[in-house]
Amino acid sequence: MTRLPRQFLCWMMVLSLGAGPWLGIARGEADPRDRLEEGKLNFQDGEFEKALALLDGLAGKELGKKELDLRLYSGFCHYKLGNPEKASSEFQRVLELEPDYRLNRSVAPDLRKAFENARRQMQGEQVSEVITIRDPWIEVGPARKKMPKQFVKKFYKQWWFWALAGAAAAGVVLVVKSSGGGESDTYLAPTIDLSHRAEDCATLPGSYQAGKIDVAVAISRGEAPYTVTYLLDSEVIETQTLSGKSGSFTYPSVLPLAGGQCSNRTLTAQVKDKRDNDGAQVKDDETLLVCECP
Amino acid sequence: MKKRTIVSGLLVLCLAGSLAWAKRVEDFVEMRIEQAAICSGLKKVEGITVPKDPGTFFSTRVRKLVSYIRFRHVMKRHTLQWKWYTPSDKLYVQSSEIDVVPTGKYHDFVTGAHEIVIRGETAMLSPGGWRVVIFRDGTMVKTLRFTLSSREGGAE
Repeated sequence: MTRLPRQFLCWMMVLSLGAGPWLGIARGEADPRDRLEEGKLNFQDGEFEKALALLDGLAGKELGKKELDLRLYSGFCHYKLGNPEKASSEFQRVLELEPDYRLNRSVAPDLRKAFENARRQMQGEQVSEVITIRDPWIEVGPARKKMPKQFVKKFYKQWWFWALAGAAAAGVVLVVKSSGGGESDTYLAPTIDLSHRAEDCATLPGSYQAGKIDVAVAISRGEAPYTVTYLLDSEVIETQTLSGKSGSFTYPSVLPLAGGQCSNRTLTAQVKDKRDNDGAQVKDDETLLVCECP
Repeated sequence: MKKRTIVSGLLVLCLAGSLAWAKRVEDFVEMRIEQAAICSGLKKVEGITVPKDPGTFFSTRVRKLVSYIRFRHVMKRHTLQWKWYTPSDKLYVQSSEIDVVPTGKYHDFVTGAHEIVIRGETAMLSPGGWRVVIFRDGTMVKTLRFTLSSREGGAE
């Protein structure tokens, strides 16, 4: 060996030891392009997670035109792993690199569709932060004065009908009860009670001095005005008309009484009320012993 | 006698008056919801507006979504309002209150709708289960649920 080749070999060794780490050879790093190819093979073998891990590791590496492949396969992996949003994002980065990029027909249809959707989203479908608030919309059917009969509820199907019917029934029962147990006509004919005041007579107890007698009639029921007629035996000696309130009351009178020998005389009071003008009269008799006292 | 007749007469008059008043006010069938749906649009069928492609599953790429509701037997004045809630249950948008039948007459039906834009707006980025709550006179009357999905399959 000559001196020159020996020096050349030494320099080569020094250079290789120094530059090795810079080139990544000493650390055993593979070429990014090789890793990309490996990732693509993993994807084709259905190992999407493994492929994605490899491809993610290449982010930021200088890949040149292969950057497009990296984004495309990353998108494919995301889509297959159920992340359509991330897939769409990766596809849109492909389209940023090459806007007219098209997938060929050898690619699975679902991936092609997802890719085209990403393109559509990109083309004029920027997501706005603004939310459009639209006015509500109303359409009103034709107006009518009344609801058609078939939709009108029958009154007896309403709660208020039965409530009112119950109240009315209760009212009727109360009125009937208060009027005397079910009698339809509540009118009662008048009654009369005749009484007289004895005059002091010297000879015969219970006798009356001729001239006058104090009497009183007690009338109840019936309807005013009342007509009271006083008869001595069968002779009318006085007729009185008592107007005013209906009901029970006592009416005193002083009647003329003719004298004579002691004899039994019959004093009768008869009453008729407004209704009984043409009907039966109510009578009340009293027997008097009338004397001409000494 | 006279008193009882007057009381009975008054009772009968009150009863008749109450019946007449109650009949005038309440003998109509109540306003009710005939149809409610979420759809991608509206269309006219025989002069009546009906929902177009109603459903519960829609794509985030759908242009807009419409909440449609139809009431029968509308007699009185009402207001309607819609509130849209995102999958995270936040109020996304609420409509203004709109008057229904201000005339106060009887109407066979009243149709109401409110729409939101999906594609190109924030709603597009919120896939998941949404709900729309419809209020009548401030009271909730209907809740409609639907799913917005970024996957294929929903109505476009």
